[in-house]
Amino acid sequence: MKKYLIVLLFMSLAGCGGGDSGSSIQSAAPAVQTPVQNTAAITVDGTFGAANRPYTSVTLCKPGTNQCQTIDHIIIDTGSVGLRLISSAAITALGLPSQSARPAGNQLGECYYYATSYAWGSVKLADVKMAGETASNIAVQIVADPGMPSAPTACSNTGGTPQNTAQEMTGNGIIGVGIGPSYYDCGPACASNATIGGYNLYFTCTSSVCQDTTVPITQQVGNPVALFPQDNNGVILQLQSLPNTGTPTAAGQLIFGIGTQADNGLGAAQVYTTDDNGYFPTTYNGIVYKNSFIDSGSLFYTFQDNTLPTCDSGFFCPLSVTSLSAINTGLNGTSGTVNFDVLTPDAFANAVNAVNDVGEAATVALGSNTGFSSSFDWGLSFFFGRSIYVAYKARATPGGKGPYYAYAN
Amino acid sequence: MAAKLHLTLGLALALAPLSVFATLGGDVSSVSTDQTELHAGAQQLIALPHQAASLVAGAPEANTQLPSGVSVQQLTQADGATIREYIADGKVFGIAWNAPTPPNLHQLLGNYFPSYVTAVQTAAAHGAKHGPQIIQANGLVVYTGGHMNAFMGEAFMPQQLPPNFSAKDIQ
Repeated sequence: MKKYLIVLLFMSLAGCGGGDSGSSIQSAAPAVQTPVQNTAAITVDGTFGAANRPYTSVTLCKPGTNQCQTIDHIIIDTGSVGLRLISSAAITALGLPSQSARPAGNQLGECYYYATSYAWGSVKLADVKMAGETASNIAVQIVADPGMPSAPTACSNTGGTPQNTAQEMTGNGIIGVGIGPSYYDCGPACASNATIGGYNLYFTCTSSVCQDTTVPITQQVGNPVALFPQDNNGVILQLQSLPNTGTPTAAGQLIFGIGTQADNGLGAAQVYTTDDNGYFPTTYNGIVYKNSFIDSGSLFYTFQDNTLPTCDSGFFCPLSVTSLSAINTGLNGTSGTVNFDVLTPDAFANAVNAVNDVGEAATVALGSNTGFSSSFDWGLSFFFGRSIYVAYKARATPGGKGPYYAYAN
Repeated sequence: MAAKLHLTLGLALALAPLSVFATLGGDVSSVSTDQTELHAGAQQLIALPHQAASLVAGAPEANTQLPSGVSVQQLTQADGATIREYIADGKVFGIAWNAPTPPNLHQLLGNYFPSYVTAVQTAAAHGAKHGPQIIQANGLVVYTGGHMNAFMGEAFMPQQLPPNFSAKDIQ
């Protein structure tokens, strides 16, 4: 009962950028942390013209100060690691210090990759606050930082499109809270000279030119949740249920920690352990897709099925609700059937062009076809009506150590 | 897929090289160019993908054997990326990768790269972001997906696949 009182107290502090008051007593008893407010709101809306984008707010502060800026519409991505924010006048005004680069005086740059796009920018240091939680003095990426030289050719040679604006990113930023191989976005590989010329993630830049560099692991852009002093063993994404025809908006909660407070227990959720990259096998139509994953940064169910009608857009487009099922199997042997529906995007009411050619900003029954024979991507469609747990490598939870996903059917 | 492939001289003449430096659509020597440009280690000749699967951690397992006459050259980068180039009759007709960051497609797609970039930009303008995608451009098909530290992809030209060869065997 005492816990709830404290939670309420910290709720009133959340997001204001103050919060220095509670930190002085933490060091005495490492085993018993004072509970803090560990829940941030999620909204799924069409602000940036994209369907199935889950957003939250993040408060960014100059390290150790109360100079803060709260930024809304940050995409929650369980498929990546690290906080990346589109550069803005408000962020520039914070005067965030630069992450150290070699040689001293250079600016550290990063090119972070998605399958068909990349984000180029500077690496800065900030206190990152969400709900009552703070990750202190961690590296974040400021995307399209006007103070940086243009993107190195290594970025554009991948063929991806640059994400330079909030419109291109479909958010003001993106927070990667996924199962990494590491709590940092690259890990040991980017700290070693041996992979120079391969990873092409970190660059040391003069005012005009950049070249590959190494960065010690703990100086890399980090997963803010894994770097919280508590509630740092994983996250839970909870999104409301939806009708198959979708809704204009949807709501939910991002909860920090698994089994660390009264509000984040595993409950009936089943644990599906994964490899270090968050991959596990999904069986669909009798075929095993061994590099499957659960990803809030992917929009829909994406899988291979050449028997379903597919439209030019790549979406499955059966005219009536089509019920499908697949079996997820954790590396720990846990196995469970997932039933899901797909429906043509044309069935969604209010076909507002602003929302990505899909009538609604939140859609559960939407899938797109892929040629891949190795991967079933459980995108945001899978998250509606569920609590999805994402547990981090080597961190203890009531369901054992991560990495794993957990959910109840 | 059990049928054996017998390459003919006619097929060989039909697959004209597109560029000295091109990889996809280029001749076997372009694999060596890639090896240099990608700072990759020694080439590894892999005749059949079921062998590839046993050699490459994280590579998908093949369901079938390749027709005779089709070989696979694998390049391994220092960062652990593996790039498999599918070759028939001296020409590269397909590429597959498993890589921590997306590979240098400027190099690997050769003359097809500008079309690929344009198609990706068109898809992005229609709201496709981050997730796995099928990109089709000027006779080229690219499946691309995965996420940081574990990207995967396949690129091929459907019209130039050898007879009795299925695109799903590029993996």
